[in-house]
Amino acid sequence: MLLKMALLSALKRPKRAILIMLAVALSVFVMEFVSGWVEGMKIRMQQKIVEESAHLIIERKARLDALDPLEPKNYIEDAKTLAARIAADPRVSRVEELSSFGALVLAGDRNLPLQMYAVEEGTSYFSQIGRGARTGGFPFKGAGIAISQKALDLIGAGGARSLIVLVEDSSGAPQYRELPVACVFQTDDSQFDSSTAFMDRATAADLLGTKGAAELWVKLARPDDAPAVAASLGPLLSPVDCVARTWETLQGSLLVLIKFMNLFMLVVNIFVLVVAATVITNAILMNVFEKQREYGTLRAIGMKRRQQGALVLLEGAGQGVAGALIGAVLALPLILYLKHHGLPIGEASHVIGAGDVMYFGMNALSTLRNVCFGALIAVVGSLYAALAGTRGSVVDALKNS
Amino acid sequence: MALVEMQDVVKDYSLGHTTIRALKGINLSVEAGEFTSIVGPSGCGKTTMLNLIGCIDRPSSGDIRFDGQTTSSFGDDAEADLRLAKIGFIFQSFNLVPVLSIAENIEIPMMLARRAKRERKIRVEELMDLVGLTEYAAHKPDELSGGQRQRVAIARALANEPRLVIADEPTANLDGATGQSVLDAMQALNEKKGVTFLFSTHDPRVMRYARRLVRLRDGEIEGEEVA
Repeated sequence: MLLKMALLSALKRPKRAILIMLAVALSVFVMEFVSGWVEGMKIRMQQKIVEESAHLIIERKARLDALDPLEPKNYIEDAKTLAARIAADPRVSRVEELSSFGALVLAGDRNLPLQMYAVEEGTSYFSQIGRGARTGGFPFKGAGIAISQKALDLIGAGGARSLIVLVEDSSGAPQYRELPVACVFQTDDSQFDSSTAFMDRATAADLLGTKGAAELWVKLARPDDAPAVAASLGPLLSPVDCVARTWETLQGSLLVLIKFMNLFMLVVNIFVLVVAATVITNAILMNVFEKQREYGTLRAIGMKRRQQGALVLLEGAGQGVAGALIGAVLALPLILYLKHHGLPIGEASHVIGAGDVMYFGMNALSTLRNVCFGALIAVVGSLYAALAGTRGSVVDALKNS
Repeated sequence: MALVEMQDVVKDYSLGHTTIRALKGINLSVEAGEFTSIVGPSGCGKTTMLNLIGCIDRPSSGDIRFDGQTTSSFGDDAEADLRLAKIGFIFQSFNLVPVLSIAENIEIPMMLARRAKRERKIRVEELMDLVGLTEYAAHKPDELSGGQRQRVAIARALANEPRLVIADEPTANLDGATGQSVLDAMQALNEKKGVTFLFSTHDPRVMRYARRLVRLRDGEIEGEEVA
């Protein structure tokens, strides 16, 4: 009957019940939105760290501080042998040779400087290029270049079948080659699109006049093994003056960002808790003070102080649970939409390693946590009201009209 | 042994820096089965006295014994337990819970006393029959007249078979005829069921119902009359 009294009491004051439920629903909605956003960023970063990037990058020590990383002495000459030896470790699932260098792409009287990646034919990295391929495919076979639609538009070569690529070789001399456009792609990151292109490794080696590879990208079965694998590769790498850097070192800034986002979410949740709990406390306090005589009567006929407190809490918690569910129900379709269609926020997101479109993430556990948190807000809000409402004497309560 | 005994009971109220003495050393005994009215002009201390006897307020000094127990030293929970088990209240403004039905209002004290659901149902039917409101079981208090509401309050007060029913100006908000019917009901319960009633009034028509009148003036018992 206490439950019924709490429910009916809430229904008797619908405007206030709606206010309380709205405060909780809005809080849950905000928390869902923020956690969906943070979840999306985390997924994106996770992809960037674990799927799109190497777990270990092997390169020459000298290359780390070199003014000109294209100097032949900064290349791993016998990259294939070293790659084979690294791949022998059972914790390693794949080793790829990769080089990156600056290049100019020319079309007519226009040119565009790009970061060029020379990748293996069957590369397992840069999967977003394959997903965003508009013509051709990625990775591609044979000689060619993969370039974005945006880059083509910038140099006014929208439908070009081939492009001239100009590079500075290892001796400092300019070298150029006309290459077929093997793939035109478009990702959700306009900055990446306008600054990155890919070519085959054989043509790159020929153009640059280098032997071997600038880097070996190592993928592990378990990314967490990276420090241990890096340590165990020491004896293998030292003789060839190479060093292994783990993804935690390479993506340190992203890991810091993830920690910052977790902190940001905590701060948002605390802020929401304080604001919503204040609204709820006031609304429930008004209820409690309006019903003082009713509570006084119940106390007079034998209800204990703590039972009265429980009644107030029950009323607040009931409205809190209802509000939290409403908030979740309202937020979920939006999060689902933003998960599939994303939120276009432009280049602002590049700083966090995301594309122009921010895709949200959805996590059942975090939704459940947000709903529970919403109900908790109502309980916290009701708690003060319950304490304040039960403080007075029965006689004082009965005097209220 | 008297059901209620008050010995040198004093009650002071503080209003800012001023202390007002509402009761000035009251000595009173109420025996089980009495139908007693505390009468006097407004502000003479009738409600204060009933509140003290009903354990919803505490005396500033003096002793109150209820059914052999000294209640003036009770804690919150012990007071609530005593009220629940042994005292029924009827208020001037009925004080029914507006969101509950008539039957549920009558059931509340039994629910608080943790009586079995089946037992509660039987008792509610019995009480509604006793106050003649059986057909209004599902109605809400605001669908009833003042007299009917006060009958519900009487039924609620009797729910846990209390030793004493305290009624503070039970007819003050009722018209003459309705007030009379409520008093008739109370009197019938006293005579047929032996329920002890202690009620306050300043209405001479109501006083006529009481078998014992305790006259109060300025916080002191001025005199008593037994019919």
